Amino acid sequence: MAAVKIASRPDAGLCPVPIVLVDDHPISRAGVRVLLEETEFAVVGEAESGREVLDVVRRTRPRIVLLDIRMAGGDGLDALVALKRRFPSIAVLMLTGYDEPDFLARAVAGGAAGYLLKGVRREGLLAALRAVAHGDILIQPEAPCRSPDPATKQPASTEPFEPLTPREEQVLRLLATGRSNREIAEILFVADSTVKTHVQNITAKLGVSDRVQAAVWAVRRGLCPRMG
Amino acid sequence: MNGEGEPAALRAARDDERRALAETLHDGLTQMLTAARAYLDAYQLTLERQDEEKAARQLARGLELLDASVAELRRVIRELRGGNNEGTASRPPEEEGVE
Repeated sequence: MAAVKIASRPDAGLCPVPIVLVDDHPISRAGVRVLLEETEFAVVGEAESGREVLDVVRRTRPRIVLLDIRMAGGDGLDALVALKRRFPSIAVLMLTGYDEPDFLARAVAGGAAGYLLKGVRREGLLAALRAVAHGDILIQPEAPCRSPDPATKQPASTEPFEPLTPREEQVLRLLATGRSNREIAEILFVADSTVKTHVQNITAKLGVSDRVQAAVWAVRRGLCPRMG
Repeated sequence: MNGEGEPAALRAARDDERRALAETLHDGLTQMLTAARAYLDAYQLTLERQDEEKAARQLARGLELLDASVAELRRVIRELRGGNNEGTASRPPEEEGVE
């Protein structure tokens, strides 16, 4: 079992924003720690796997969790879902080396407040943390999918497409929350095959390659409600 | 090079090898280089704040991680060329006493 470090709480008088770091690579955590020195953020705990996160968060009560995705001993995206379920008010910022649209889609659908790539500059990291601490949702502009839209809440401009029917839009909203065809079918009281047809129509209309890309599209245009 | 006509077993083996290489780069080089970047980023700021002793420690750590990255890169290249395959990723230097 990997060690879990829990730092003592910083001086309450200074009111720093408490943060938990989750990464299976000690040098990565050390790198983030050094970037946060002498800022308004304080690292109050660290975990080395997705499995340890809940325990560390329960004990340290951070406002923000910086969460890696691929970790030995517990996937970060699974940990994200568990974290948001248990501690919905805590903002989770993914910090990963993977520039993968699938990961981004799952992260946003799971309730992540943002998705940063490792190697982000100090100013970029601090700006992201400040935004997240104020309740904003952000996606790093150069992060996955290489979208021109810097933020998920802003509708993308203008590419024309055949409008979705109200039912298709309903399916897309559910799809963007990570639900399977079967789950969507149960919610909408229709057959799995009907949902499958809707998904095919949605991807064709949006001009995207698959359901994940459709979910990313929905999230970027603010169609996807944030999960609590 | 699309692998057309290639036996499935060979293609699968090559895919496995490619995935293993991606994991190796992710677990080794990516972590070391991004950490090196963080220390050098911090070094720049510390220097501006005129804390020379701390800045020197951060610079040393950043350079140490860059050295480790070069060593890791050489190891991966050697492995890819079928040379001395030691089979283990090089470990990043310990971080004792570095803020």
